[in-house]
Order: sequence, then structure tokens, then C-alpha cells
Amino acid sequence: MEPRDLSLVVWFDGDCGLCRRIATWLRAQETIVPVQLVAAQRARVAGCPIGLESLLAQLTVTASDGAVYRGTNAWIVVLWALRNYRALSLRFATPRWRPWAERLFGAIAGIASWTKRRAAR
Amino acid sequence: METTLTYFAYVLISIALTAWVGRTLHQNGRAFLIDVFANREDLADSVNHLLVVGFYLVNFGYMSLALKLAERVTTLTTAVEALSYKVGLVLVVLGAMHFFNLFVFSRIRRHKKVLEAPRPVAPDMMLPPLPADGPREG
Repeated sequence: MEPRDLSLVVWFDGDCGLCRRIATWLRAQETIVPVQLVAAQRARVAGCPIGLESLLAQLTVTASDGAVYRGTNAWIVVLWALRNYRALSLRFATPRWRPWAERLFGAIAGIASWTKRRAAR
Repeated sequence: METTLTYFAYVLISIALTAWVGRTLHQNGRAFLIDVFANREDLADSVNHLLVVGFYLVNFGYMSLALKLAERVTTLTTAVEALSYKVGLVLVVLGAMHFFNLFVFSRIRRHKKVLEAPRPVAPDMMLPPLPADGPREG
């Protein structure tokens, strides 16, 4: 059983266009568990105990019960919180689909950092 | 005369079959629906009843539509053939409806299981729980 008052915080890279787009999309989704989207750059003022370097290295989700999810796990937990994507999340978490989830979210992270570096030039 | 008798037998057999399948659905679907509707027995019974009514309507409707024989029945042999063909069709339709019902039940149940599923991955690390008011607005 999940705690009744469980909520998630997604720490996304606020300096990355793709990440902001995905955050906008996430805000529009119907959630089962409340999801807050906070730019990683605001982590320190928001009271996040994880450092900025670490947050930017991998997508990070913190849960109100203290659980921290990184990378593919973070993506799966966010999808799990969305009403229309929970079934997909459960599938991605199965041993059979997990490698595909790693590839998909790895690719998204790759595109995000590539476009960010390109925009910085 | 023989044709009318064949119709009569067809109607009797079809009604009996439909009633039998309908009762089976009604009795065995109940436990399933009670689970789906989180032990709300009143709601489960109501949905169960509505499903069975729909089931009867479709089957009796089909039975009536399919009643007419294309050719007159003259001998006992042709009567048996015509009857078996028509009852066979009713059985196939009943079977299809039955599986459709099972499909609907299992979909409702799976949907509920998905909505209740806990987080599917283990945390990468644990921190002390965050304050209840969430991240501070900065």
C-alpha cells in the first residue's frame, strides 16, 4: 500500500528546452498522485538535499516518503503517477520491457543534453 | 404444419439455452463484480443485472430475427436439419456473447488492478521524508 498523502517532485533541467517542454506536457496530464515540477536550478532554495550537479546528471524524482528515483526509474515513477500512463509504466517496469525503457529514456536524455549543448554554443 | 412445429421447437430450445447461459452469467459474474467494485455489493448487483438484461435482449433479438426458415419443412429429416442449423447459430451467438462478457469483466478488473498498483520500481536511495508542505516556493 502506498501512503495516502504520497506526492512526487520532478527535478527537471530548467535550462534545457526539451526538458521544459516535457515539463509543460506533464503539468497538463491528469494525475493519480500529485506531481510537482520544479527546475533543478531552484533545488537549493526549494530545500532539496540533492546537489545541482547530481540533479542535472540524471532526471531525478523525489517522493514525499523520502524515496529518490533516478534515470529510467524516475521516468517510470512519473508515468506511474499519471492516470493515462500507469499501465505503460507497469509494463516498462517488467523485465521484458525494461531494456527498451532504458533505451527510450536514454535516447531522450541524449537528445536533451545534445540540444542543450548546441543552444549554448 | 411441420414448419410451424419446427419453429415451435426452435423457440423453446433457444429460450431454454439463453435462459441457462444468462443464469450462469448472473450467478458466476457476481463474485467477480463484487471484487471489481471494491465490495460495493449494491453496485455490483446492479451492474450484473444490467449486463444480463443486455445479454437477454441481444440473444432474444437475434433468435427472433433468425427464426424464419428459407424453405418449407416436409419430412422429419429436413425438420431436424433445419432445427439443428438454427439452434447451432443461436449457440454460436450465445458463445460469442459469453466470451464478450468475460472480456468486458476482465477489462474492468484489469483496469482496477492497474489503478491500484503500487510504484513498480524500487527507490535508488532513501532520504528522510520531505516536509509535508512539499518543496518551498523560492
